[in-house]
Amino acid sequence: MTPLAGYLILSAMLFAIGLAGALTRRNAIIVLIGIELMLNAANLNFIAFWRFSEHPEALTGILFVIFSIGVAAAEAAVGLALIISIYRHYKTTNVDEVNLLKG
Amino acid sequence: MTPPFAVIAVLTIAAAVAAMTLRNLVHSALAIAVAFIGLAATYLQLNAQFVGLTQILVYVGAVAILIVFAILLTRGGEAPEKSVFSLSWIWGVLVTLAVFATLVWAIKHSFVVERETSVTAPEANVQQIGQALMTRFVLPLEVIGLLLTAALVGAVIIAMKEESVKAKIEDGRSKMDEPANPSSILHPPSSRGGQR
Amino acid sequence: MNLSLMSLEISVVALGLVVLLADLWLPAERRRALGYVAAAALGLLLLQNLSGCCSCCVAGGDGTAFGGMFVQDGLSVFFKRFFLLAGALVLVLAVEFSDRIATGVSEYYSLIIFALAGMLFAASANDFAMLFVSIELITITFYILTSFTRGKVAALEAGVKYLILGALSSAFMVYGIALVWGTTGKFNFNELAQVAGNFTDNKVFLFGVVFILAGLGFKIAAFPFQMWTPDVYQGAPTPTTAFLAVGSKAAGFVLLLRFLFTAIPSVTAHWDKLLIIISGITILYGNLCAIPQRNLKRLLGYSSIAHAGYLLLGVAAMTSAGQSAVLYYLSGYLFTTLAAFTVIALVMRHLDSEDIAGLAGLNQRSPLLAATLTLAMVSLAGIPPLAGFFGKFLLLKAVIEQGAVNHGYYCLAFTALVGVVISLYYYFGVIRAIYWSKDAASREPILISTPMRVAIVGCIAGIFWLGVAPGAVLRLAESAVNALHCPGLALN
Repeated sequence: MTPLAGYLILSAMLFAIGLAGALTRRNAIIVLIGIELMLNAANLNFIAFWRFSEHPEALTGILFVIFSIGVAAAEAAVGLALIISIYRHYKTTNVDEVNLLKG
Repeated sequence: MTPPFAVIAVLTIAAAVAAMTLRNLVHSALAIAVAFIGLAATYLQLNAQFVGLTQILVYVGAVAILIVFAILLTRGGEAPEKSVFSLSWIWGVLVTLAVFATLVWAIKHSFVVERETSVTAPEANVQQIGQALMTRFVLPLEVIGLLLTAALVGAVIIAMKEESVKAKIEDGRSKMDEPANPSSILHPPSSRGGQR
Repeated sequence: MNLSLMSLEISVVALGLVVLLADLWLPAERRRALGYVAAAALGLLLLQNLSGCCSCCVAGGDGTAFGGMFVQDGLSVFFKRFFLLAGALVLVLAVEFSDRIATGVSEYYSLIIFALAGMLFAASANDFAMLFVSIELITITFYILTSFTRGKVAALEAGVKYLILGALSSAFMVYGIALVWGTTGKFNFNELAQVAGNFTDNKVFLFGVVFILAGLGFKIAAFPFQMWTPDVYQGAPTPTTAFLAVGSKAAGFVLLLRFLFTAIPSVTAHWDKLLIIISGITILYGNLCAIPQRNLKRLLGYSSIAHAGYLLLGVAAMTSAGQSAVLYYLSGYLFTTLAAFTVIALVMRHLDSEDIAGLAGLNQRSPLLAATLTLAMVSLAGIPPLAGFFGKFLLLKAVIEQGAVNHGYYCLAFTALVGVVISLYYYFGVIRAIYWSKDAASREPILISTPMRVAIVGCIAGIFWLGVAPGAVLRLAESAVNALHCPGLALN
């Protein structure tokens, strides 16, 4: 059986990859994908800790992951709707070209 | 580390890196679907079958498809000529490296990692999950339901076509009759509805 | 199980659904008035809460439901009344604003009510699941409310910026919750408090706490998670901005107080330096960046960052005096900010931008609005005898009392005073634009509807009441923060 640390490191790597994508890419859709990846990394943590916990019968980790998946889906829906709406006005989905507000 | 875990981990990480670096958005979306499947496989390996299948249903089945739709609707299918990375990418990379390095350092220097798994795999069948969702966790579940309702209403309103809206704005501040739900179609038997 | 504890939340959610459905039956021209109905319903709920609960919460009407996940105590009752009042006032403002919303007026009202429901749940959240879902309900609803006027590009841009940074911060928060829960095995705040002391040298646990604080810091717009604030405040429709400034910030603070002082008091006790530094930088950043602003909503965005810094003074003091000062200051901030945004919505309705120059000649156009905005600015600046002054006085008093423990608190109090002096400059710039600018764009008087007038007069009364007669609210705030300390008494 793989030790807990293996899963935690895998999760940390996915989190870092997602964070890097969210911070460096220009396209808003890819930024959202990066954020989804970060949320998935957190979910992996929950499942790994649940599997290795002293009271797995409490199911806390599993249920939190279910809530987290629901929230992520809602976030993705609103986010992509916003991006489509932005595209209608700016004809671009690059976040750094959407810069009317500043000062 | 067992071979299945190693294979799944390498595959997931490769797919995630591909999703974050590929120039073509459609390729990115496909790569992220592979990464989601890899995570689902990890969940199955950890004996969390319900979450693994939920992951496939929601992330691969819904979120990835939604992303592909968004890409096609915004004509992002062609690879851009200019750089896909923002000008300040170096800061993003530095922040990421700092977060990652401290995380790994913390995991290495913490006594949680020595925790051993119980010999018998924990049970998490659908019945137990359903019972927990309906008893102890019923309140967060209801709040999530409310959240999904709000997100549904909001996504429709934000993404709705707006020719009629623009015309109305230029029209001056006219009355609000919505094209989305014309009141003439949905007349109730009595006009009493909606009053508290 | 005690379902009656939740009757308020259930009524508010039901109200939101009724408003959403009523849209189908109501003729188009009457939908606008639905906002008044909803505001009146919230007002009734508030009155019922004030009359019914005053006796029961003193006489031990507290309780928990769902295995300690949902807690009804003094703190949550205080914040629930706060949110109900804010929600009712924002709905009145939204009715005034509704002619600028092209589609879906009733959806706008019902989303405001849903966000309000999220805040009510946040006030009672006592474990990580409730913390997460309530904060997400608030945030996702606000993404939508921010870009609701989707004909305006500024609103869409504000929405997408808010969404990207908000989703990023919630990803950090979920990761942090995973680490904290994974190391301690506790989900409930009271249970976590009993074991948190054993984990103060566990790096993974501390990392998780930092990540959760990052998520909450985003909600209250504290440095370094403040960059969304000015853009979103400027681009969002004015009622949304007002609700964001008051409700969302207060929800962040109630969760922050509960997390820091109920869940991990033994860890928080070591982090006074971090809180002092964040509070000081937030105050200076907000005030310095506000100086060159010409857009009134953007200016209030930066000023709201500065006020998050002032509120953090009370958190950094780590005493119950500091915490009750936070509650008191938030109450004053409610009336002041809502008054300011109401005036902005009314004055700027025929202008495309919210430039400060648009205030010219306001004194001739509507003396009531001019006086309201002046009072709001004076109170935000912290000049006696208004609400803002007494709140700042309490916060500074709490910080200076702690100075004997750690001299950093004296520096923090000095920084806060410097911030107040800087803020005088830009707040008086606004007042000068009202009374002493020459070229008024238009001279036509501004019409104010009766409900709006009631709301404005209520806000003014609140500003004076909290400044002149602080006793009642202060007593409420003091008894409210007692709830924070009961479970962790041994650890303090």
